Amino acid sequence: MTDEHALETAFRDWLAAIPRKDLDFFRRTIADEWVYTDYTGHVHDKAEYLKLIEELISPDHETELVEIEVKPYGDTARVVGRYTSVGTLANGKRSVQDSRFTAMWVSRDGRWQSVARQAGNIGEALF
Amino acid sequence: MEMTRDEQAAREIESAFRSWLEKIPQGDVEFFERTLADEWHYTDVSSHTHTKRHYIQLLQGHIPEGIKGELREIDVRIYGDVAVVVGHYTVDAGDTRIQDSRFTAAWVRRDGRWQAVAHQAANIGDPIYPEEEA
Repeated sequence: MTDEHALETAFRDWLAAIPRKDLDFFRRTIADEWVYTDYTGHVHDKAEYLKLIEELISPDHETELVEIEVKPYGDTARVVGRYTSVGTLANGKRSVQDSRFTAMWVSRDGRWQSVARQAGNIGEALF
Repeated sequence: MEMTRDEQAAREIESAFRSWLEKIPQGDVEFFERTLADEWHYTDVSSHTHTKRHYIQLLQGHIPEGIKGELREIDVRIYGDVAVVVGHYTVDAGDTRIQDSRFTAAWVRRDGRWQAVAHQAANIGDPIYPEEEA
């Protein structure tokens, strides 16, 4: 499997793991030093993200990877793409996202782990 | 005490970010030609994407006069010849704050110098999960 294919598969698995609340998947796939900047510009670490998945996500969440582009740099890879996510949060709020992301992954002991990710909802173009 | 290679790299990248913010109002195209890799991928605060070429075009025609950018926080993590950078910057036009953003970026060391290969920014807004701010 190429690095590009492995990382695209990892992203599809990530999106599928969200409604299942598959915390073991996230513990394996997210590096301990992971830093996540959400679409409101707030920063979360791995433990906070796992808590959000556990407490906030409902099983009705539907996610889809719309675009992905992987560029390896040796044992590191830049991954950019777009995904959609629709569902009801545990607090009753409806969440509808059409987001672009930038992520960095590192290959360790033969497997890829995410070390950073930022996502942003697509809005009106600035330019 | 002598700096490690990674500490030196982190310092170089922080310096490059500070220069970046200074060079925007100056419209210093040469700086961005040198500092951005040809494959640079930029996702702006509205999540629209831009190439290096498009970003340089934007700098030449869309930057308000008199703006001032300031780097507030930066965290650089080195993975060999790749750096993962997260941080916070503001942009002011006179007394008005026009941007208050967090970013995630990636830089690559090539031929002894660092070039940016990705940058995504988001304006800081209300948290998605207000209870976490309590």
